[in-house]
Amino acid sequence: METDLMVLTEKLLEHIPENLRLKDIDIKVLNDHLDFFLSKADIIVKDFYDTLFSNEATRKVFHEGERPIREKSLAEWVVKTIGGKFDKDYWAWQTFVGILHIKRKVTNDYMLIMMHRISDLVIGEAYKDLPAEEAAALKTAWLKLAGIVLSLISESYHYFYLVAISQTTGIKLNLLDNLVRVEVDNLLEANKKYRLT
Amino acid sequence: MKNLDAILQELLMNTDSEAVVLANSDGLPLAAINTKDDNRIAALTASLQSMTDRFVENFNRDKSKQIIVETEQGYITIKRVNDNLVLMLLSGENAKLGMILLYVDDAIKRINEVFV
Ligand code: HEM
Repeated sequence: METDLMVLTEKLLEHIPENLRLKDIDIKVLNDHLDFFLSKADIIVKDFYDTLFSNEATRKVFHEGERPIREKSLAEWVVKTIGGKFDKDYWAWQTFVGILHIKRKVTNDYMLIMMHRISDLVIGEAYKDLPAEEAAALKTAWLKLAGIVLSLISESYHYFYLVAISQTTGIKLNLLDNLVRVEVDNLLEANKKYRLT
Repeated sequence: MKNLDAILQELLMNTDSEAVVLANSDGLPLAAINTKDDNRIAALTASLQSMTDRFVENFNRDKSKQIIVETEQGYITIKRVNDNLVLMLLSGENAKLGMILLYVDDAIKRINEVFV
């Protein structure tokens, strides 16, 4: 059972098709737009938390008075990300962010919907402020980055959730897989009306 | 496997039992008789064995020798065959625990002989 973040991260990165990985040119585009992101950090962070706090299920995730700390960590994430080197340490950090969210039950659906929201904002602001060609390059680089980050955070959440069950119960991951498999057929059968022909 | 089936069949007869499964440690059935859903019972058998081992570990004891569940309708016995195999025997209310344990041990010895 792999629990070394670096090793696991490398394995997860291998899941990403070549054309969806960040190329040097994407990294350059992101790094070159650090000032753009710094100027937008407040808008992104405010929108992110206004959105989360406007909805009961997401608001409930946070403790009383926690919002300012979380705003600070998201702003930090944006700046460290855009100005960063996108090396092994950076990707392992994203895998760690997945584990961190398990404790607070920030499930992958929340993560996905909010990363899409950030992407929507970033791309909208880019087309508002930058020449179209530059905005298009930034859009490509950002969407690749967001996709990779999401895949690491979400799979890390799912994987370490299972690792935690496995380690407390002693049930190996292969065995957990089989426990799931015996039930999946029943779930499919119960919901077969959704099957395409 | 023919040999395994014969061993398990004999175990059922000798112990007045109803069903038996031999599962590997990933929870896949290697042989089963009368278990309605072999895959499920094998996976649950392996899980109970794993959970019991982890439970016992917390008390710094050696691995469990066997798991015996007593129900109104009789005993369910789970016992490790070797590091990779575990046996589950579902017995009826008339089955005697002493006989069950005796024949389970005998069956385990014979199953291990099949795999040498
Ligand atoms: C785009 C998606 C997200 C990113 C990139 C992100 C990033 C982060 C980072 C970097 C931290 C850690 C700060 C530290 O090291 O202390 C953190 C913590 C946290 N995030 Fe997120 N987050 C995301 C989505 C969400 C969502 C959707 C929620 C809630 C619905 C959420 C709730 C939290 C909470 C409660 C913590 C504190 C965890 C703890 O107890 O330490 N996050 N997030």
